[in-house]
Amino acid sequence: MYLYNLTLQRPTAVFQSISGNFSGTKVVEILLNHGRALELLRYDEDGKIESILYTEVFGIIRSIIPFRLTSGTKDYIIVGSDSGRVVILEYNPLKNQFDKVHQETFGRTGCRRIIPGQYLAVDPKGRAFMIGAIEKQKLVYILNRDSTAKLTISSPLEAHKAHTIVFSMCGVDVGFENPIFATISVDYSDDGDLDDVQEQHKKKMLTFYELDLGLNNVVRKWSDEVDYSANIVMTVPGGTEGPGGVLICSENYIAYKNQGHPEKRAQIPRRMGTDPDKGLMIISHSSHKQKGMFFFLVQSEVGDLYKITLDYQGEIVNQVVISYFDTIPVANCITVLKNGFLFAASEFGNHGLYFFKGLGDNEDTLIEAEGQQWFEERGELKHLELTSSIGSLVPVLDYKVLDLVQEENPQMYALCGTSKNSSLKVLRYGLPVNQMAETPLPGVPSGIWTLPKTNLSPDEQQSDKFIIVSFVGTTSVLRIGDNIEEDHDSGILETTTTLLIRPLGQDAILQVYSNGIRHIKADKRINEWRAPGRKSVLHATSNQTQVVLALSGGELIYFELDQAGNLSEVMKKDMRRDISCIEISPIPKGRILSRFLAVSDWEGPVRVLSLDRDNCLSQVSMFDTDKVQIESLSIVDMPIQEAGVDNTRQNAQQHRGAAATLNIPSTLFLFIGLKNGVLKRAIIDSLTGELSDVRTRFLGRKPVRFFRIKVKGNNALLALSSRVWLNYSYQGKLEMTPLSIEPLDNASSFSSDQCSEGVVATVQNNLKIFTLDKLGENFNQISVPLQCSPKRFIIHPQTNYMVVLESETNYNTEDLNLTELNRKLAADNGNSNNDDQDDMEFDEKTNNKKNKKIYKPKAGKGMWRSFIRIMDPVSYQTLDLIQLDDNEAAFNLTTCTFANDTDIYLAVSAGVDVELNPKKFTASTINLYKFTDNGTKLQLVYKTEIEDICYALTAFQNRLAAGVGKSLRLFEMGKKKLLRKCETKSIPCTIVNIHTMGDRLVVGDIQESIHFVKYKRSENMLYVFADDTVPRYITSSTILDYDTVAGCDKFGNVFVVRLPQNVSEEVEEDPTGSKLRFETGLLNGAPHKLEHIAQFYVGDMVNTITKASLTYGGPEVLLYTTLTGAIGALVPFTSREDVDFFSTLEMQLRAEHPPLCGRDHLAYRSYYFPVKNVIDGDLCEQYLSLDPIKQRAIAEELSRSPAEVLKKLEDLRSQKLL
Amino acid sequence: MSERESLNSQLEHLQLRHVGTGHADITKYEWLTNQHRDTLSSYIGHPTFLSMISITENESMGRVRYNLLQRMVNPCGPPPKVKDDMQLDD
Repeated sequence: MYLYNLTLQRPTAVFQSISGNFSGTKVVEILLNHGRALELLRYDEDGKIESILYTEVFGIIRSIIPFRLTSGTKDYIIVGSDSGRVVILEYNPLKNQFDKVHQETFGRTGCRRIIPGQYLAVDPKGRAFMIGAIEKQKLVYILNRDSTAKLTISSPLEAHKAHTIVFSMCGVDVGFENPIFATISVDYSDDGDLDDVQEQHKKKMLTFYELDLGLNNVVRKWSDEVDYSANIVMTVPGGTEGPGGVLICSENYIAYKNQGHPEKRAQIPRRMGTDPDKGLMIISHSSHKQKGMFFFLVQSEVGDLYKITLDYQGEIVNQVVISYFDTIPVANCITVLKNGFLFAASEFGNHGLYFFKGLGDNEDTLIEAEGQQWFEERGELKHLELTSSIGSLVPVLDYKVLDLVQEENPQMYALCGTSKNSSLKVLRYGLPVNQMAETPLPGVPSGIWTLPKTNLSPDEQQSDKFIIVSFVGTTSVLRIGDNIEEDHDSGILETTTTLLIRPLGQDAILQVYSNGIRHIKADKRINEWRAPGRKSVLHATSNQTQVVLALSGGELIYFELDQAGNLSEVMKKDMRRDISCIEISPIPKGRILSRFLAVSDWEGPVRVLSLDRDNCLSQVSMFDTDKVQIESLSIVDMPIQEAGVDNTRQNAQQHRGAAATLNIPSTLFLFIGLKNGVLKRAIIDSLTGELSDVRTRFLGRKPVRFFRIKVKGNNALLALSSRVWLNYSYQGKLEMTPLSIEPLDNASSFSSDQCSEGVVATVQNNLKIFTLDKLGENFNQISVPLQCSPKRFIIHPQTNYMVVLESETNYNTEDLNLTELNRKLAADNGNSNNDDQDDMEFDEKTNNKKNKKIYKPKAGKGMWRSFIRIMDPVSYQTLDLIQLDDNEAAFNLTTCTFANDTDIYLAVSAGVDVELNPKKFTASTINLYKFTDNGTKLQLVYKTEIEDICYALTAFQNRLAAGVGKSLRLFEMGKKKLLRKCETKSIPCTIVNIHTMGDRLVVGDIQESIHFVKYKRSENMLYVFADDTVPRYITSSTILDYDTVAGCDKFGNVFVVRLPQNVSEEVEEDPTGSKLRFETGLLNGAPHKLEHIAQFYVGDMVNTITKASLTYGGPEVLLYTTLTGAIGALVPFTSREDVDFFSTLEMQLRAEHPPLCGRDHLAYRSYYFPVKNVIDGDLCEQYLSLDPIKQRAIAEELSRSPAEVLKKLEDLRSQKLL
Repeated sequence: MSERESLNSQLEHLQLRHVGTGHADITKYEWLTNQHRDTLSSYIGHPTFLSMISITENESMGRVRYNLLQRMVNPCGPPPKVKDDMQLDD
């Protein structure tokens, strides 16, 4: 078996965010560290975020920091990763990619203790940076520029200190004196004083390391003790802009420190209701500096933001002033952006971009009590305003692909988030749309168009004046203003069915109807052209200056707009067949006329005709569709990087000196929509008109029709079939995704003052206006809030209701009784039904959200609350919510049936007073519930005490199979409790999951991988007959067939193991079981071992794995989800030829395109075990971003053309997945 | 210098450079402390491990990172009092 790994949904967790001018222009950009990928974001003045670039780096990114040379204008990015190297990246806006400027090796790979990469600090003046490890090692590199203004890097200078643990690191602003770096560290070396309690004589030190630029060495300059709970050191602006020195954050206090300056400490105000005995920790920080002022923004572990300012004169700091600012979700990283925005990368839940409404200069009143300042938490934001948020699935805790609502394609159900951010997310493949308006129309329209106010320059973004809707026999003109009203004054003929309407020339309008053309000039003068004789116009196509009509009988008439602004007939041609559709190509930039026309008749192929004067309307190329009738044609130019074609040079010339923005030359595409729902796409050569690079895709059951729209200012194409698909250019690639919207009949682009770029469409007799805001997002999400951290969910086999288990330790003590809770949940559910976007968490306006955010002291270790919820998967209504009592922690659940009983029961395993590390509990039970009221309510039958915590439960042959600690048991239902019928204790550690098939049980162990267990019914006996040869910390597994299991582990490996054929047969042939039962393997293992079929390292902790097909009737694939919110797929190959092709491609890419952060790709994918039989599709898909010379070289090695390679990559994704 | 001595000094040098490397005379305590420090630093270095611990403990990631770093200082408590024990045994 060979598998192909593809990421369906990129990781959404952000571990670090930095900002800077990475393009080298004035634009402020945000760079996100997704743990294994880098993403560059841009935002506009309205605070709308747009993703510019996403790059998988095939390594683990531990830290990133922006770096700018003295008096430079461009920020470089320094990356500390697990590659044992430091990498300096530069964003290349012309190619839209990161260029590796420098790569310096200093140590071994991996996230090790003494290998630098964990911490990064730069000199604020841009002369050097320090890269540090958790323990001991610190290296300083000097950066400079050479005579050609290129960045140069020195050899490393060591600043090691053995036996020290580093907590934080930053550069100290000393102006242009020798650069200084500050660290907070603890020296753990034994100094012989063993009688002392260790913790007490350990000191946490702030140390200044000075880089002497003259002597070229690093010395420890100064060291001073700081609070033992210190965890963050921050740079204070120095030189002419501030006092210099550093701020130290520790529990409850923030202190200013500098060499030769007394410490200035300030207490952090606390929120009312927090536990004063527990230290308040600052977990993320950012600073803002502008002329004449600077401040710091820090966030505490409960989400409160504080603003810190310094009261200083010269280099003397008098006071550190801390004031409460606002409360936002707890963030991994907050970044104050230069132009009045704040980006917060949430730990769990959506990330947000906020706008600063004020800086909180008027102080809030603080309450003094018990030697401590307190403040009341505001229910809503005061100084900040959320402008946009990035949806995040982090963390995905359980995931299933099911079709619960009986749609065509299955939906994905994921349990996401923790505590307050918990939710059930329902994902459907499709780009989310934002519906703006919907109004009924008097009839069913046959076409819809929009007309702009003026048509001076087609490139410029301008709002539309009219919407024209054509019905049978009539046309109505709607004027767009504050309201949309009918207008009879436009000069448009309203008593006929309009075939085409569009702006023509400078300021005229073209209307085509069955009798001819109306050319309406700006001054309302109308030039008419009538179809000759009894012929009528069937089809029309036009661009800014050219019009082509197809008359009945197969005649083509070609018009051009002349200098005087009049339409004149240029050429006529009789095609001798009735034309089914025609399409003229858009005018290329810098020209007046376009050169191609595509025509098809009812039975024949698509012909591309030339519009040049010397061979007007003669055929230049042809495309055969194998007698399938053509429904629609479209020619669109889109900014797509064509495979193997070098365009960057001419591009660079165009933009020399100008603002360096992403500019990819456009490529002309011919789209052919067939009657059978298939779309074909080809590239038209802009010189010869030749067609090449044909791609095919099935869109739906209805004929495919095309409508041109604009997306982000670029041309895009809507393809309407039984689903709505959008072809658009995203990050230089042509994306084709369905929209999450009902099937549309007609569509046109739309823009008004309220909505700068949208789509107006008709569905039967309704008019709809919607926008496409979340480009690049492949899944439309519905989010249903839950009470606390979800754990698992199952589906009731008869009613299809979801049963969700929620369980959380150390929860926030909110004193809510259950009825109030239900009411609140009902309100929440009501909201979520209307709103299919998941910005619920941030919605500050609704009252229930306000309640939800109020923080109460945490309950502490060993305190739990757990809920069992029954939910209707159609309405998302909670039907029943049961809270477990007596501090019970729930772990797993299953539905099961028992012999001699027709009811379906729910078994839930729980523990009382559980502490996880080290494991402690006072009782452990399996609770059995009965479904009542048609499965909408639960009723406790009884609790059965067991002696260890049960993490795994499953139904097995009318019994309940449970993993109780290390023993696997089968229970039957008794009168007062579950009765133990059978047991085996041969599993090494703790059973975490059980799957059954026939008489076999496949058991996953928390440390010791997969075990195959046989149940002998005749003997009522369980025995382990095969296990794995390597230790794997199983998190989830799934059965692929009777002998094969796929699983994933805590370290991020996905694997497939299989029982050898002879063993499988032997087990089946052993009638008494005595042979295998008494057979023992070596070292207490099972007698037989599993074979490894496939092995792959994903890079994140993989939480769930499941086998499913994503489309109705599509091939089955393995789907996995990770803790960072990524969804990936492993697609089995079906032909040896494909395996050879893709493995060669992967091999070539490894050599030609090594990963960005300096990690070896093969070594990375073999992090814990050597990669086996899995080809990395994420690497293969980077083929597209290679430069054309390399693309051609690799394609040559594969004896194919670059376009063919791309086609193969695209086909694999579209045919096997979505 | 004899061969053995030079080997020893080479080993010592290696020990110094590569913190956490074992040697023939390593005590159980030293070995265990090294194991713990290696594990803890791996938890801190891999961001997903940090999130995992943060989810299970229901604490913020910043707090978890701090807790782990703090534990690295003395992961196995104070070293056993070897000399005292021996005296007692005597």
